[in-house]
Amino acid sequence: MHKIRDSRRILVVLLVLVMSMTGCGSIRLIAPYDQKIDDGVTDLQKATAEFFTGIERQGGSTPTDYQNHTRFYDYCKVSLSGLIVRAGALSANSLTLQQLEILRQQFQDLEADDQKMGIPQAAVPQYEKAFNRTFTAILTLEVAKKERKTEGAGE
Amino acid sequence: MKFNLDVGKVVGDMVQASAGVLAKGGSQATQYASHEYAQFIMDIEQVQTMAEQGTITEEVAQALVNQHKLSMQAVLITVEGLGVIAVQNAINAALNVLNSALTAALGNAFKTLKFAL
Repeated sequence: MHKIRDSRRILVVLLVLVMSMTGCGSIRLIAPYDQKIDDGVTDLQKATAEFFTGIERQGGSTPTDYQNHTRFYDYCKVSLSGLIVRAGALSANSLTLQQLEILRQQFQDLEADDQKMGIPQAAVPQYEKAFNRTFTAILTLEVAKKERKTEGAGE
Repeated sequence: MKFNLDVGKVVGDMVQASAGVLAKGGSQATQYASHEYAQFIMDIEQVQTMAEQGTITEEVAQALVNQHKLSMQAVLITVEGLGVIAVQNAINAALNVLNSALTAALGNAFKTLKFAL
């Protein structure tokens, strides 16, 4: 009988310890939702959509048009740099960080393609789809982090 | 201090709470992944068709395929992230149940306890 009582006491102590170690009932495996990342990626998506719409409207671009696009590429580079620094500053945010690095690679490749062979009109929708897929992926993950607050344990 | 805790019931409630949350999260991740995989295949097929028809050069087609491949990496990371969030929510749902059960069992004595690491 004493053994049962002792083991129950040990169990209680263990449970209380678990609760205290997990911050009174919640753990965090991924960084919290970040409004700045959400806004920053949304702004980049708009700028990219504007860029592709312009290219499509003018019937595609040639390598000689590249000089007219450097402002857009510079804006994307600076914006992404800021977002990557911010994402890296948050703990448990490596997934978002990796996604932003992928987006940076996509812009670098686009700029290289633009400089080398221009952007044919027929290719514009496919470029846009590829970029939008990445934007959506980043935002889907970010918004899912936000939903966690209302769905999981109270924080 | 009298401590009444039905361990079997609490464990059952914890499993039930976490299983529901985990299933919901898993379903969301599967739905998202299926949609994106289908879109990716359609896009690659379209690029291939354009290259075959001569609408775009082979070089441009390769550039587009590379862009799509990069975007799919971002999608796979999101799927991984949704899984992590689902597990996190499941653990926290179980901890919530445990927290409530402990609070009820210990009553006011538990509420006044402070823990610090």
